[in-house]
Amino acid sequence: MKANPPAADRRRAEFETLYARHSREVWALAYARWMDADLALDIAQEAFLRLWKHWESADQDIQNPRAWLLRVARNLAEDYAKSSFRRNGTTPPQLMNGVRSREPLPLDQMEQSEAFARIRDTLEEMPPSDRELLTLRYALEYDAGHIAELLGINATAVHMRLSRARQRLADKLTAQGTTAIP
Amino acid sequence: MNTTTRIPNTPEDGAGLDQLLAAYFRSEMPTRWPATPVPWAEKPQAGTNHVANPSRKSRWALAASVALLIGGGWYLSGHMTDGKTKQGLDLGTGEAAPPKVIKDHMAPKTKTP
Repeated sequence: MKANPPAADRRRAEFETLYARHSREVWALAYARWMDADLALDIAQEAFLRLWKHWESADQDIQNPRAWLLRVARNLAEDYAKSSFRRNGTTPPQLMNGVRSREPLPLDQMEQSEAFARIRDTLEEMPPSDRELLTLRYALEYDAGHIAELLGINATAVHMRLSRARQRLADKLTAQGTTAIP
Repeated sequence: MNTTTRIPNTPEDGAGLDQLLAAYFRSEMPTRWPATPVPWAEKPQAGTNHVANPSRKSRWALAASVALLIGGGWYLSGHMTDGKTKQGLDLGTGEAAPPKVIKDHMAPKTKTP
């Protein structure tokens, strides 16, 4: 069935609202999987485009678009491992290229970039589920309750897992002699 | 001078680790968040789709080539059998059989009552 103009406008407005509210969450989950900010951005965009296509083609409405988007983003991120995302979606940039700088690094930022590179290496050794928690906590500044709601798990479990993940990170970084932020 | 600072790990200096992680993840997040995609604007125009689709075009070209090949072969084979130059091969000797033998062989057999 074709949507009449007012319905189409409503749908566009809803799409824009969803993007404004949830695109960072979708990005965070994709980022936690591959530790690649640009690839995560591609995955997030692709997830939203698929939502729109689904709206256009399917008879049934999506009850919970946020959950749907997160699930699609997770699947796309997993698909990337099988390389099918390259064929079916947008083309991501080179994966795992180390820390990329978005601006020239003056000498006084060298120490910070080294610390970040070590954090990155350490995060890559951690399970993706722990990286999800850390990304949501520190990139989006979500509290445990918010993370629990998003991931559909208990807030206490989030607290425990976050604490363990931080401890592991701290131990590894300390063992590497990582410097704190200058 | 010791330049290596211990990463904060105790509850007292846990804020340091938080600060470090927050700074790291902030640096990873895109500085300018991309605008909302507008998939409704990318919809192809009706009517121009067929012309613009290159795979459809190449499929037509392939079909035309195959048809031309089959038609050409059929046309040429018709010319050759109507003409006089065709000779058969005697499988027994490996030599070409004279045209008369072939003609006799190909002639419709008369039914005996």
